[in-house]
Amino acid sequence: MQILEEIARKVVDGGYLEVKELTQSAVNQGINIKDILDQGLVAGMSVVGERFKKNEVFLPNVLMAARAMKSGMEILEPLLIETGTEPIGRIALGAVQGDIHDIGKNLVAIVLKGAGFEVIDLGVNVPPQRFVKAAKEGVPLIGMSALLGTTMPFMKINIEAFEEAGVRDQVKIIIGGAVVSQAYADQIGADGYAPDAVSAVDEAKRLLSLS
Amino acid sequence: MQILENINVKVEKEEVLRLLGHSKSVPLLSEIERILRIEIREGYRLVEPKAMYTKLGVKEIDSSSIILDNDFILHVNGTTRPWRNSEHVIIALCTIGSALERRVAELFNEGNLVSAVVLDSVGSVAVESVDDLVYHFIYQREEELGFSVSSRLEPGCGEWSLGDQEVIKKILQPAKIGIKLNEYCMMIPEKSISFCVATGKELDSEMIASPCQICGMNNCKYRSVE
Repeated sequence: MQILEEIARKVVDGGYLEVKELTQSAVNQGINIKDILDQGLVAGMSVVGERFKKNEVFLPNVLMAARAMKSGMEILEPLLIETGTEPIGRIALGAVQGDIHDIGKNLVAIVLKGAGFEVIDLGVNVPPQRFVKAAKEGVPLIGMSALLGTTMPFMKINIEAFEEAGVRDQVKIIIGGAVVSQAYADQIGADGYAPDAVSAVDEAKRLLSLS
Repeated sequence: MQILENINVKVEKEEVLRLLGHSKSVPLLSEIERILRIEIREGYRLVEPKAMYTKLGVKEIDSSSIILDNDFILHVNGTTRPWRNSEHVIIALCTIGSALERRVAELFNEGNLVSAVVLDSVGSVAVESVDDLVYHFIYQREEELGFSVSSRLEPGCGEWSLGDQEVIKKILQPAKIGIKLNEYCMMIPEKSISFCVATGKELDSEMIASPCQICGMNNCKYRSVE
């Protein structure tokens, strides 16, 4: 449908006012809410994600698209709740204990929301027990970030806390942050690693068997 | 101990873009150009650059630590080797204050994501600029005295314990320039940097090279050597 393609295009361009207007128009035209989401907003974010991976755009472009997506979601969200549409997955995110840097974690949250995830933001300086609590509450995916080499060891401590609490098998764990690597993820037994916010979406989908 | 306040911070647009992951082949949207201009200007308005440093004599270097004048001890652990032949250690702290960080948080909360991220990068470039200016100031002074000056190292680098931020705090009393430590020895404001340099007439060449050479984190995003 032409209007859905237009929504996707405007998400790519980061035109949040146009996306809001077009999304409202699509709703008014009686187009299926899930179609507006999938073929309009999510489709646009996916294009931006692909371009980011190919280095054709950089972070501010992704954020402009995320903002545009959000403006459309503000219209769709109440309607999605009414129709009982579920998010594609749930993830709890937090910067590990001792780490107070939240920018990277916030960006991952924004892009994951843009991709249709429900994100539970645990904040910064998150103690192991808080991550474990999220797992016990049924969140299937836990994301941990660390900016510094000095706070990175808390990722391993957290994984041990999941094991001690007997919930390690119930969750998948994804890690990221400037000093973190795939090798470190393998070393501490994390299930996934993402070097940036866009990759975090792909990795989250893979870990939850959504892709 | 010396406090430096009139520091001319320089924020290069290209450096802000580099931190944001921009590749020169990617065209900049006019909207992003506009935000860059605004936030660099905002950054200059918000930064409150300050720095302090002191120079202490090295009394002894053993297998894991450096003992300074007044018996302050730096626990550099496995990284003592490059410090041999150091005659002095200069310890410095740099900050751009907390106003910029507060504005970044506001922008995030208002949903101005691009502005928030750009301003945050402006802050990072600004504090690196303070760090560079202070380092070069120290470098020139030491060179005039006939000393070689090492590259910058800091607690948390390689095997050097981050806990030594507490030692630096005791030595410098950073509250004088508005820096405090949290319970995990991280500096607040976040846009603050501490560094130490060794000086000496016959400094080890390893000490003059990049600090990445003595750090085992081979996959670190900030790594500057193979």
